[in-house]
Amino acid sequence: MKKVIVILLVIALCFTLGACNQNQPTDAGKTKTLNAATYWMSDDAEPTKGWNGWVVARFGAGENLVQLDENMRFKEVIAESWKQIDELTTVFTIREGIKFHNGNPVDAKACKESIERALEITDREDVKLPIDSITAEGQKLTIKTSQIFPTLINLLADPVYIIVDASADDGDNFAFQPICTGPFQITEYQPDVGLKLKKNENYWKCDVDVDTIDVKLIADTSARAMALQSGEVDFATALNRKDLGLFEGNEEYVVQRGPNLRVAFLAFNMKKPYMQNLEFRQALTYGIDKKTYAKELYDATMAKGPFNESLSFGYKGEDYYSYDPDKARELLDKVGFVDTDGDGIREMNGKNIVLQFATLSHFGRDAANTGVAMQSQYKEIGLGLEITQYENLSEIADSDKVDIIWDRWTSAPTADPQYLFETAYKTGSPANRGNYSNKEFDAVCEELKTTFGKGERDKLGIKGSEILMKDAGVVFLFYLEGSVVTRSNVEGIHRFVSDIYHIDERVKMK
Amino acid sequence: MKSMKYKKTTFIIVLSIAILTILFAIIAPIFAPNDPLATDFVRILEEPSDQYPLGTDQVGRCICSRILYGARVSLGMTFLLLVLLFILGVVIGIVAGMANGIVDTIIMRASDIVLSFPGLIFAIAIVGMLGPGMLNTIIALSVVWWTKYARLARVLVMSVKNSEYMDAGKMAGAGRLKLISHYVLPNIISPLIVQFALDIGGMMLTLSGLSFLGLGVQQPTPEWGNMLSEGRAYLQTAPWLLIYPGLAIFIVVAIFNTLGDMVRDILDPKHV
Amino acid sequence: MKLYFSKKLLQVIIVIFGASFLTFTLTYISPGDPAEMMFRSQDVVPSEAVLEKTREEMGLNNPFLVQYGNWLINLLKGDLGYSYINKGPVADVLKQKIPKTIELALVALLFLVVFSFPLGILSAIKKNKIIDYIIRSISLIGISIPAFWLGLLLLYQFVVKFHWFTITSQDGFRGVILPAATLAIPLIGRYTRQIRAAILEELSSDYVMGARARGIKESKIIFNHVLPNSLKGIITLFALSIGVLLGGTVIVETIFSWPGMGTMIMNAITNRDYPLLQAYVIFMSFIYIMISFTVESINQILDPRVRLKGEMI
Repeated sequence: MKKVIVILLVIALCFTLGACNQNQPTDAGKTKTLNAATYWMSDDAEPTKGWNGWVVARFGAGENLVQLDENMRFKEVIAESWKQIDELTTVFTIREGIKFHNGNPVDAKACKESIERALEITDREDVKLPIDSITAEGQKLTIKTSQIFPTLINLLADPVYIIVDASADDGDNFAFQPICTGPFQITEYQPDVGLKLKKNENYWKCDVDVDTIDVKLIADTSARAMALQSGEVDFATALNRKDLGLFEGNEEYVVQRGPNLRVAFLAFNMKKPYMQNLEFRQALTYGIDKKTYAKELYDATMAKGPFNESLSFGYKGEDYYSYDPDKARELLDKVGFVDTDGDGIREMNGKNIVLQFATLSHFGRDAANTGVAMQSQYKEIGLGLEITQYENLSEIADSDKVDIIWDRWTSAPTADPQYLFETAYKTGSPANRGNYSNKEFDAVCEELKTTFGKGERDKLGIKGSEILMKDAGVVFLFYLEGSVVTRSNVEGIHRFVSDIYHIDERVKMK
Repeated sequence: MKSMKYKKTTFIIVLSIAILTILFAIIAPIFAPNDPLATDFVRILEEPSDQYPLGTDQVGRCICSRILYGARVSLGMTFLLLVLLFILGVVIGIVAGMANGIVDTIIMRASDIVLSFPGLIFAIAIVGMLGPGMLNTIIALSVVWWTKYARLARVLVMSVKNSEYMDAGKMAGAGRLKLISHYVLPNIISPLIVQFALDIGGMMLTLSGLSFLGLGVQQPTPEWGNMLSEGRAYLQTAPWLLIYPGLAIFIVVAIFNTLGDMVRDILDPKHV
Repeated sequence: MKLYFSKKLLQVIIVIFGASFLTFTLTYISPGDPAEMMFRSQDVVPSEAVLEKTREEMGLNNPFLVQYGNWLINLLKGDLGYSYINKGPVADVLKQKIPKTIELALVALLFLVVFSFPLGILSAIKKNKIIDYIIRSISLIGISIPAFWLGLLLLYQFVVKFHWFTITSQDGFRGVILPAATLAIPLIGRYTRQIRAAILEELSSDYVMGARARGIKESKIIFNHVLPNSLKGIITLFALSIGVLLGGTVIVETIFSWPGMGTMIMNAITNRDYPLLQAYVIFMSFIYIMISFTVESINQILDPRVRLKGEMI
């Protein structure tokens, strides 16, 4: 038996030593490696599948004809310029001298093939383009749509349309190591572990400073903060609000934070007859102290309309209904919901009003916390509230049980209001979970379909937002906050409002 | 022997502590300084203070009150489940032990199957499929653990069944039920109680573990496991969210584990 | 012996069959709708008509037993189904996750053996001495401390404060120590106690008394006789602990973001990915059953008592 123990100890020792050896640093001086943490990875890196292109875009592997910069402004990337020559036709000039990661030149033909490939593969309805024809001559790419389509440029900036070398698609490895044009090239992709990238030696714009990027998947928010503290990573995003305090004011780190494009809102279920009453909805809205929720619960910016103010189509005026419990009580009295039995809860048709607050369980704690907060505030104006977390969308959509739905949406991934309006609030749209319907608003949506010109579209975006706000069918709560934390030895990483990009050619390491 | 007396005294002390813990949980509302569900937005994630002796959580609820009320949930569920398993197991065990042949075989085969699963994993899967919640957790753990008591009870019944003592009962003309309640039960009860006492701590850990994973007790009901799960994100910035509920579990489980050991030493002295 | 094995093997098959039936039944009665799940995984909000059509195509409108039969046949063919969240075959997902969990479990097992044996033996030999009390207190702490709490505290101390270990598991040795320790500590507490008890029981047996009377050295008695004799019981306990160990991986992996089957299963539960859940239960049951089967067989083959008699006299 002694022997056995000795053997076991020896094994343990070997194991320990062996593992230590693995851990020796390898030529740390020569190559510049950026260690990064990411909170999400798709099952592969095929940009045309679902939202997988986000990972390709995030770490500087893929580029589009045009892209949105950190402040949601268009910038020319692979296309040097573009011009709309009539209502249906747009011409792009492809920059000279760009090469794919494999050395193949990028010309109009390659771009055409890449876009056509994306159109063929993608299953996302929201990025479909009504294409009449795409023609390629040298560096000139002409896209003709079959109908008036004002958001062509916006959609082409979506990672789905990352320009890839379609001829290099071998149907096998391509989905994990796509051939694109970005400053970095993916060399290894493991969906549940991370990805590795190396610098693109032939990058068209400039010489890239960092040699390799090692991205680790760390899904847990607080674990990402710890990885930054322990020195395992130099860069992480989407940290816990409170954890940011660990890095702010610390010389070793740089923190960038601010509202991103996600908006959290409450939708009232319009199927309920009492929800059809505007004054009742107004009372419900007056009873919510969203300013305090945003500040205290979420450390986020309170929302007024669906789009945050930094966007050109974001509503910038005063909020329509700010927290005012007296007004809420007044309105509730006015619509005839009063407390007759003195139990502190108002009645409707003789029964206590207990509203049903619903969220999807995958929205997690943030969603439920809004409900917990509302519970005590609604009690003050004489309304009961019950919180339920549902598993499935259909349970909410079909259910007559639900009164108030907590939801969250990326408001304008392509820097345009049409997407959110059409998906979430237009009559009968697929994600309109509150069954909201307003003719005036639907008219704005129709108008957006055919209106060109950013100025005009921005105005429509604001107009639509105002209708939604005034009508109190939806209560916009807060804009989620994005954060980027880097170690001070890393420079040139910017926080993109869109959250689609993290690292690009500007990154440098000291 | 001196050590026997010493053992008795310590047993009485530990037992009193355990009973006090249970009593404390029952009358928790008297001690709780605040409403465990009330939120206070201006005082979120606050350090311990006079008003909130153990600080506040991420929506401004009093941690101290939540721990006190959580004791009822944690202990309540543990005892509910164990009593349920105990009764279920003993009934099944006696039925299997007393009945011969086919009934016994069926029960034993069923318990064989249950025993061949890794218990906790199966419980997690059951709750995962039925949906998280207190009731589903109790169902899942009952499905997984009824065999423990049933098998023990059966073996014990078998060992007394053919004893002379039982024959005496039979001769005295006792009916089946009387036989069980007067002759079988008194003979098998003490090993079962030992098992019960030994299981309390482990059951508490399992239940709070499931709640920690988000499968057991749901928000906003205070329970130690789900408090820890909520507090996890604030490990660095508001450690009191984690330290106190964790300590509560640790201390209470340690009390009941010690008690379990002592009950075994007294009722089952053969065990070393 | 042959009869014993074939009987055992038959039992194993029945149990696995039972496991598959139970797993499927649970999924069947669970509230989620696989058709909707599939759409949601692709971020599509389907209409009721589309849903109905998909349910028909997926065979969800068939009677229960037909569905079970189809599922079982596919399972035997090695087709474990399609994982909604991973958007790929379940078998591929398992292939990635299994090695990670096994790595974690093996290191934890190593800790368990390395620590619980010496502590248990020492505690038994020094019964009621100060060292025994210390070891017993430590094991009481071990079995009473909630693993999830312990894990978080260790994480904070050793990763954030001391920078000894890493959070990410890719780093080999530095990544696996903490999760394995968290997994092992409650078990070490348990085993130290059980090994102590097993050895004390042997120590009080007649042959030990006899050996002592004959003046055989205490260490020789322990290592040559007591330990081999108590080994059978300990091995059985060990097999039972595999279940606890495997169950523990769920919590530990969640805390340490370990990319194994534990995090996978929690992910599957939150997203109601039933095919993945089913495969997980089946696989885990299989492992567990095979381990118990192996251990029972080993015990059957090497009944130490038989050998010992010859030695003693």
